[in-house]
Amino acid sequence: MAMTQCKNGHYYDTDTHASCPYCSSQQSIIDFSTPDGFGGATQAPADWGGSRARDDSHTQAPAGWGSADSYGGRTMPPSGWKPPEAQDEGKTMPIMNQDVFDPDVGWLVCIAGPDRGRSFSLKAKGNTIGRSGSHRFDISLDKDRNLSREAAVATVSYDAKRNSFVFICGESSILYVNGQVAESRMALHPFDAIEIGNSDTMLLFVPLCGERFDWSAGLKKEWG
Amino acid sequence: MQDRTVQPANDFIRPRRLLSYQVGNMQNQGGREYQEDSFCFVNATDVTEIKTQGLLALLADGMGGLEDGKAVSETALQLLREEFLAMDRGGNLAEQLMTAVRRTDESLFYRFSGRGGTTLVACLIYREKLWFACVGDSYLYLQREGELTRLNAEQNQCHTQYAEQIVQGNLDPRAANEADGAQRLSEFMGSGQIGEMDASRRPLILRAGDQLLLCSDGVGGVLNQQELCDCLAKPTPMQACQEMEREIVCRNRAYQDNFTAMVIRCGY
Repeated sequence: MAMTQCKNGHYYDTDTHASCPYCSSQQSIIDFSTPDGFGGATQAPADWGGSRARDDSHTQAPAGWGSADSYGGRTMPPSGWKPPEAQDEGKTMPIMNQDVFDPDVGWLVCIAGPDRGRSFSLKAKGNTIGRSGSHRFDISLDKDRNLSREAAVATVSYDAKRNSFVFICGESSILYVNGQVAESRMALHPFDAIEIGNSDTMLLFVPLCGERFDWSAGLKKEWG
Repeated sequence: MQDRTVQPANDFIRPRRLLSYQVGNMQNQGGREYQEDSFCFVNATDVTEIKTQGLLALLADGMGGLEDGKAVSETALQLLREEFLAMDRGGNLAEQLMTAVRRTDESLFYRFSGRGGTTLVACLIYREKLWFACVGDSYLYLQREGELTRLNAEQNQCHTQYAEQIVQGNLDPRAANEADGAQRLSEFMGSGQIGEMDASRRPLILRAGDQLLLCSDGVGGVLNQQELCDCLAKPTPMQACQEMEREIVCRNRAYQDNFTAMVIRCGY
């Protein structure tokens, strides 16, 4: 065996390998037999632990002491670990969100497309629509692969002062409202239907705030 | 007590034998989609550099439960390599190693924003002494005179919960073992807020015949002590590592985690 060191600090046998088998791109999956949809890859919380075989031959400490059997699961951070930036994507946010009054002002309901059946809250601000990748969008259509993960597809903005909603097109797709090509900035009316580019997704706009009610004036007495 | 050659009283010139080091390593993706473990040696076979700078062995298991495990573990290694090269060999190496690990944790946090993490085992050998610093649930073993001893504490929630229980007088480990999230790490590199790392305050003096084994939990959680000792008995560290790999591969475990092992054998 002729051992040599590669520039990344790995040792390997030049009799059996032409180049370092440990430098990133060289490795491949060895065919460990795994059932379909093997649990180690899925992110579903219920699966992550896998089935931990309590095999006493592993135990190095007194009987009953937990040996690290990561087998089946991904290495997970402490319970409740939240990357700090996920809570504040550069937006100015109050420190204690739960103490600030931030009610829904309306909803977008997905009535067609991969996320059909889901409803999304609109808040009193610009609500971005996209598919969450590295950014966090307010309205994330996770299943629709036609949508951009980089930039917001569109934004629905609620202006509390004027008690009105504005639809703002993003740059990544053509947008349609009620079957017509959307203007880059246009007013939204109750039950307007929003479609995005070549996607099947259709979102129905259902406002809470409007002629009948808003959070500052409350229920309008002249109704009905 | 350090193992020294007995020197005749009137011989002031005979040089003392210095320990030399033989190393081996192996790595395997297991049954996972990506390889997120990283490892490296620095100066492992350069006798001059070992004398002047020391030998560094690093192992990092990138966390699959967060993002970009491979990028985080590789970056951790790069940063620590740079820290190692910049250390003052005349100063306190224990402190410098701990500071280096903390700084690396902070850098990882800035770069990956807490979305990525890795474990770490760092071993620094200088003048026949070992300093180490570990974060997370990877393994550092010392084999001495046939006995295998784990040098680092396992930093996961099972252990922190058990420690709290002990303070309350409850010595039964079962509740901690079986709690939800027992295997979640309690500390990891990249959190930006490492509370405790398991690091030596004073170095361990190495002896001829000692073997150090660094490995990720894909090895440590699969092979028991006896099996590891059997592998370490092979003629060379490289063969020892290959034997560990063979042993794990032939178990053909479903969901087998990435696994990595590094061995440093001390001798004359």
